[in-house]
Amino acid sequence: MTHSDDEAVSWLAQVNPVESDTQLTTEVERRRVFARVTAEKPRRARSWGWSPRFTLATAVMTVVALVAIVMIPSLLRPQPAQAVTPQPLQFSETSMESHEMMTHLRGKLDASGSSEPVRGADYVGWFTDIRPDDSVPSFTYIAPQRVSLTWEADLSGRQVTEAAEAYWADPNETTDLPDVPPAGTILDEMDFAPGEFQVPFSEPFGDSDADVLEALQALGMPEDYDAADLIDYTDNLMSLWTLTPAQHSTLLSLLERVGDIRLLGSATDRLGRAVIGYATESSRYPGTTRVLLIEESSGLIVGVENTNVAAQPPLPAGAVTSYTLWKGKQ
Amino acid sequence: MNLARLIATVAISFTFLSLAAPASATTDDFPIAPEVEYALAVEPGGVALDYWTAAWPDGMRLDVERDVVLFKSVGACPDGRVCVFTKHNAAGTKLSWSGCGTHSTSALGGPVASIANARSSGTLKALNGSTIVASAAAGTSKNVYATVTKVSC
Repeated sequence: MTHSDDEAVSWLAQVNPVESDTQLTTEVERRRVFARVTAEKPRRARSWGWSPRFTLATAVMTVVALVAIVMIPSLLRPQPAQAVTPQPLQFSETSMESHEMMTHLRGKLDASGSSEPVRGADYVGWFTDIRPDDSVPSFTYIAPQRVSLTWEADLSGRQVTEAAEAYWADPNETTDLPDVPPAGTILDEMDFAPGEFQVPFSEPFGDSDADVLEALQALGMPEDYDAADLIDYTDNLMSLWTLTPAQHSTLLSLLERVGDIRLLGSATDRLGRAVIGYATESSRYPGTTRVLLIEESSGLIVGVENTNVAAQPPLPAGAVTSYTLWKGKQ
Repeated sequence: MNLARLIATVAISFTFLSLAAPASATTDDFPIAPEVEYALAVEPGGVALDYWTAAWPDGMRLDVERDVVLFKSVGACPDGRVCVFTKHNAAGTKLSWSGCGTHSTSALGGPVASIANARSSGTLKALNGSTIVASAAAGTSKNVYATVTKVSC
């Protein structure tokens, strides 16, 4: 990964609040003088008589105390639970059962689509930021990101992360959002010189069960995979490669055969597309659920969402902890 | 906007901004370098004189090298932290720590696809049990294509 000198200068400028040695010296000197002056300041003899100044101070303190007595109970009163992560999608029951729906969706895949996967990916996502040694993050508004990755056979590449459209976690909130970077603002750029992009394989792969499984396992999927593993590594694979319709079909077939997935129903996803959702609980990462979203019109896998099974304050049970959405046909 | 929401919004704005702009530790009224913060934590009794400098009563003094780019974010891994991600190239759900040590990655809630070391020195290692499966030098990220159970630096 490389960064330009301009970026480095920019980082330094942001990190270092002192712009020059001269200013630095001035600042240190100012602090030293301030410390000396405050240390040498003579103290006034205390007087407890009823002076006008004391009377005024007493009056001010009384008012402050009264305001505090009135205000504090309302501040301490428990507030209604507020949305802290994206709202879970609302699924409606479908007329088809799980297997029938999967067959239906696979039938929608365009057999005349591209025959080879393309290096690179384009997705919009939102992800939690977990800091065990810091304050627990909570979210009143959601600031998704759009990631565009391109890479070549010589292992050169580029990844650009942009701000996507932010929105309140609470869909009923109508006030203006805080000052967040507008959609399209570049948040990060990573450039990879030839040979730098790190992937376990760089040549397009086929669409047979064996081809797709080999690709998933090259990314790290365990041999004793379950449905959640398949979804996790499908997510990884689709974040490196843009797959063919036939490869989508194989992934759906593998998922159905490994079992332990349930049909959630139909929903409108966060990009406004009609999708069918399937879910499974992860045994490898207990307490988490994977939701796979398949576009109704095309049969393409267009999203993966992760949720918590149990409450993990400040996140309630069922909270969405991340989502990734890829382009579909619509 | 109620008080709780205001506080949460401010907190999250800070978290978000930390992704885009390098962050640094602060004393009561001015920021200090991570090295200074670390030194003050492990050698109590000292004071920060400025962003780059700390001094102790016994005459010990720390002057952080100024002509080196010490801190920059690596992907979405903020300055001074070590991070693991659910996606390659330092993207996706992020689990991060400010200090070095051995950290379990189970709280990530999914497989580790990349690691990033946004500290100024040292190597971040991704391990499966006791086997090193990837390592990232200071200021770099590495994609991971194996099971990771913990990281160490």
